[in-house]
Amino acid sequence: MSPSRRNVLIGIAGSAATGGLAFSTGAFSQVAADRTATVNVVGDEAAYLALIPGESPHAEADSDTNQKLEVDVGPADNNESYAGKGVNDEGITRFKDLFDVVNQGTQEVEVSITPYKKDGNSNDVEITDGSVAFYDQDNVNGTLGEAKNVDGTSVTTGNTLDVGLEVDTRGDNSVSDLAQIDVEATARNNGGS
Amino acid sequence: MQRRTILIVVVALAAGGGAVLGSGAFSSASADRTATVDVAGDANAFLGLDPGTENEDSPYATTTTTNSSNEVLALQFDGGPGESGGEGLGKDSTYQFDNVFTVTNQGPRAVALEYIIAPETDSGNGHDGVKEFRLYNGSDPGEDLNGSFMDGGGTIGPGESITVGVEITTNNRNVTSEPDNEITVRLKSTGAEVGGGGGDENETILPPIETSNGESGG
Repeated sequence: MSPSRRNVLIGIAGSAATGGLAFSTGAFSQVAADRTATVNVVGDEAAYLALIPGESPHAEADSDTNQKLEVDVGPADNNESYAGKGVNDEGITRFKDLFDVVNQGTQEVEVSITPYKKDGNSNDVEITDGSVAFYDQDNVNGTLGEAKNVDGTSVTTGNTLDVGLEVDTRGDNSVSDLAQIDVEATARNNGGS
Repeated sequence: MQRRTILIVVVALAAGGGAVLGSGAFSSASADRTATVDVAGDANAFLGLDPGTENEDSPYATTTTTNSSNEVLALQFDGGPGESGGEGLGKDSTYQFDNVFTVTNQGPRAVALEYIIAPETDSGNGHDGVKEFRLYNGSDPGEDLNGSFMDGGGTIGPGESITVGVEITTNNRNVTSEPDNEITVRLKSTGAEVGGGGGDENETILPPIETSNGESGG
């Protein structure tokens, strides 16, 4: 299982400690004491791997979950007004500008996005039938129905990956089973940890 | 020493260590986020599709139930239920059916409509008998949905509707409702540009359209 953000931040602290030992830098215990105060879980927009809602009304930073990004393609929320309840069955719908993945860390990373559904035992199961694709908006086939999930797209420091969503409800599909996405970023030259 | 200063020191050390040890500040991150998509029948979907008009049913449009138990728009020109008398389309003729179905923009952005007939009609591979299949604005066959009608600012705003007419031109071959003669219509809506954003795109595939002139296939 991938590390949570909290773990990632602790990992950063670990790097600092290692570097400190290697260089025999002084005054480290004091730094370590304050370092615990830096293990903050921040809202998605401020995180090292920032997830920022785009112009689409179907993604937002959820105030109920500490500003975590939430994708919700469904009926209008309080501050919206449209009558549609969902995507058309037997169709393909693409939502552009759903959210941005911004690399606010210090290294180039490779980003992948994986959609999951729940099985009968509430376990996460990857959706592999191609019916749900969180795609790289700058690198996508213009034909509806042919978008692919972001898979190892490079994002350099300070740069942004624009993510759109394509759902394909033709035939039997997993669209309405979509429960969550996993956004993963791995530093290049990091051995693919 | 204030905390702010100390934090800057920590960051600097981390970066320095990273450069030497080949391991950076942010080596890997994984974030699980809630994501859900609702699927709706055509009447309640973002691109709302309803048979007939608000005030009048059409004998050529109905709904059918998908595998997911949603009701979706279906067109029929084969003398089926709801039609009176005639059993279908005559040969070498052009038929215009006004106000067959209604498209309502139930999404948050203005959209433009277009349509794709697949496979192309009168190709010799299926669709024997149907030479051309067009969709037009309401009761005006001159305003083809793929023509200048939409290009001329004819977008459908949120909450707005248009009715759609169907024109079918037949040739001198039999028009049958055999499966390989079925016509598929993709109705495509494209979101108007809003504030530099891309707008959404939607292609809805109507169930294969039944056409017949009442004669047996051959």
